[in-house]
Amino acid sequence: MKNLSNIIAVILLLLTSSNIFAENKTLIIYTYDSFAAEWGPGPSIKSAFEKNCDCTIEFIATSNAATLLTKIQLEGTQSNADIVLGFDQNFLIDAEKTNLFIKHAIDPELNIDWKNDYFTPYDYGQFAFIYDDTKLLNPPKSMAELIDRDDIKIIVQDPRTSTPGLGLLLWVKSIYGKDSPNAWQSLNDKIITYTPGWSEAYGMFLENEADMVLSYTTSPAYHLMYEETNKYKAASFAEGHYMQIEVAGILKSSQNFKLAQKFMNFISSNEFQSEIPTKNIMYPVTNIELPEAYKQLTQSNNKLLIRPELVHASKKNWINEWLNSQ
Amino acid sequence: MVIIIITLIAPLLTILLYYDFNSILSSYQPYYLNVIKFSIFQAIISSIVSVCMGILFAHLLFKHSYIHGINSLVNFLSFTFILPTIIIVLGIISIYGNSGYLNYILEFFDLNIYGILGIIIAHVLLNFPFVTRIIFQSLQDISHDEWSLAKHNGLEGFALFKTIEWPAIKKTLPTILTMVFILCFMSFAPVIIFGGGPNFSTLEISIYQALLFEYDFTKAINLAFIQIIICLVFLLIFLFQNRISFFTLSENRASVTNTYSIRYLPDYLLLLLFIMFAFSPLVTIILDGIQSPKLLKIAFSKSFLIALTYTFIISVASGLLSIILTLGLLSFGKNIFIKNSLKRFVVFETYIYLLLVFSPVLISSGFFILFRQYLGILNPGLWIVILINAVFTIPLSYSLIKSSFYKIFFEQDFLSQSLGLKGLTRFILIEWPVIKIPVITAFVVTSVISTSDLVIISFFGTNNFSTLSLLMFRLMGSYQIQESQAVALLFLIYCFIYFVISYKLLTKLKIRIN
Repeated sequence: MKNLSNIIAVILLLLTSSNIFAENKTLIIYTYDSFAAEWGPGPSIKSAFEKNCDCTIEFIATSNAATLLTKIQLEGTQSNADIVLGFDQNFLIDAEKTNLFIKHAIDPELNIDWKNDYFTPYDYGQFAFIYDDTKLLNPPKSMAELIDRDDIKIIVQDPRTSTPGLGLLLWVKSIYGKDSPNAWQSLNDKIITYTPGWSEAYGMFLENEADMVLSYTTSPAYHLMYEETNKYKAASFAEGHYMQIEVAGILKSSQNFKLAQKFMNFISSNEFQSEIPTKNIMYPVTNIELPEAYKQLTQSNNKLLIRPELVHASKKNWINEWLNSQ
Repeated sequence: MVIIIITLIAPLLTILLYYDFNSILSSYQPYYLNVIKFSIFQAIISSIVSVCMGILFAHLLFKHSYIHGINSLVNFLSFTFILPTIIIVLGIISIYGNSGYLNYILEFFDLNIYGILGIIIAHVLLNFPFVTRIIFQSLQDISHDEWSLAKHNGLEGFALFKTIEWPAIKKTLPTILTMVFILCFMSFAPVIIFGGGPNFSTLEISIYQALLFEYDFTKAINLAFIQIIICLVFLLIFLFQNRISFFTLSENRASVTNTYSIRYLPDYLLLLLFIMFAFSPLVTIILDGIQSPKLLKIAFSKSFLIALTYTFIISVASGLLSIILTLGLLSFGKNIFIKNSLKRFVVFETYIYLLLVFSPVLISSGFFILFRQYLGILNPGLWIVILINAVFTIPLSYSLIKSSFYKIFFEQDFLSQSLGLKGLTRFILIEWPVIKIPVITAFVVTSVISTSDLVIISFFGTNNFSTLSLLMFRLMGSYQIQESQAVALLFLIYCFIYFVISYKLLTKLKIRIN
């Protein structure tokens, strides 16, 4: 028995030491799969980063951003991941409270207001209702108008299972505050249906099931860039548009803190940011030159955002409030 | 048995470690009471409608099974049941939705697909073709002697149905009703999408929310527990109706002696209507897929080929494993039946159907926690996906095979014993030839269902490990609707080829004893 344990010890030592001396480190990044997919920004970001480090990036993707945090929580301190990239500011406090993340200690220059010791943003978007301008000729110009109109049918996502759905809930909350239940009651007449996620809603909209669908102000850019059609537009609302800021953070359990930090700094580089508008269909967080298609988009200067702390504290109540105003 | 128990118990226990016993009642809200009431209501209506339509359709198909191609048609009936729910749901929308091809029918009656009607239409469309499939199978098990006797006595029309077909159908009803009820009770995407709002909801939606969005295991377990209790009550009510009776001894399968005739014209029209209804959700998949300009591009892409390979591996492995486990359970059930009372047998069947009740989200999470250290190293994800799918599809294969299996067992038991046939020899000589077709059906159905799954794979899928349905969903999730329509069509073609090849190859399969 003693011999056997000695042999195992030697093998383990060899294995670990070979890791220590290996020059090529692997940085494991958990993300959602449209980021890591071959059509997403992942592959070109990987090769750009690998050029300047003696390392390999490995993306491990979950099917959506919400599962990402659950996965990290389930794995706990035993996670192999170094970096998690992909959840948004509404899950920020939940993520911080897991106590699994470590302060990144970087200070990038960004085009949005941001201060957080654990997470740094890599892109942002604004929620908007998308319509086909060959079919809907007079789109509403504000949330108030949408609520008052009775000739418009929309499809939205369920706030319990989808990030844009939660986005709409907070959007309404940030405009109407205590009056939200009333706003929801009027809004419900327009809502054909709720879907479990963004994909079903957008798919149904493209099948002409509704006049408008809840998505992002940047959605028309996809159709411009990849389908060469400009008929899809984002309705610009006077009250402003609710923000979604997507962030990345380093895990405490990471064995490669320095390398992870290098990647966190790389996030605000031009090489990283220039992949975002074309491949993640979101806005970059630095002032880089935007593609042609983005110049045709209307971006609202009134960026609505409820503090993550307040969202964290009130999310359950607000969802119940929404349930009760049906 | 051991595998099944481990597959269920291990992840459940793991999840229970996360259970906070102090807050057992904290997640209770009056909202859930409404959800439960509504779930039960829609599930009862959906299952009754599905079953009634299934009986009528199966009867017509069987009566006119002389029509060329009817048997293949029956095999493809399970398509709406086994394809990923999301394609079928989008298919239903494009036919019956606000701008759908057939919306004017609904409009004429001033109806709308969103609301309770939509949920029921969707559930019926998803389930009734499969119900038809099972009932058709049980009609085929009616022996030739019974038919000739009935014909000899001049039975026709409704009288014939009542005396010969109905008893055969009746035996399968408790099982089918239970299954469809549970599936509708736990349904997820169709209920959210067609419900039109959170008033129409199911517990499964809240379980999903608790697990993936709130990371609240206690709430998820509480809700899952309520779900299990309710289903258990219904299971017991239905299954205790089970009266097992077996018919005359005969080797001959029934063959219908009808031929084409003008007097069957109403039947033909009704059949056509049923066929069109059953396959209607598939129309859009085919039309959109063919029109997709990305069809060829995607068919040769790396991600498609990876997904296709894993889809194939999962199909074959889950299908085989499910069948092996089911056959094991069947012979186990047979022994219980011989040695013990009918009551025990019902309890045994309840356990099997109870598998349907375990929330896949919950079980997957449990597995994920169990294997989290190893994920990414040995890729156990593939094996877990295969295992969970194989176990979850047991109730389906069981219900497809059981009527033929038990019938042949009881019919031939005396013969086999007098010939001294035992064990494998007996299985190969006596049982296999008869249960071969149901087994093949169960194999293809469970195979494809395993690859349609989106819940289990979403936990274990990575960039290099996906299935066609996951790929389709990923494409949809990144604006690439045309690409995903192309994959949906390719997936449909894959299923078609898989069906045809499996039936062709496996029906020729003759096991020999040296």
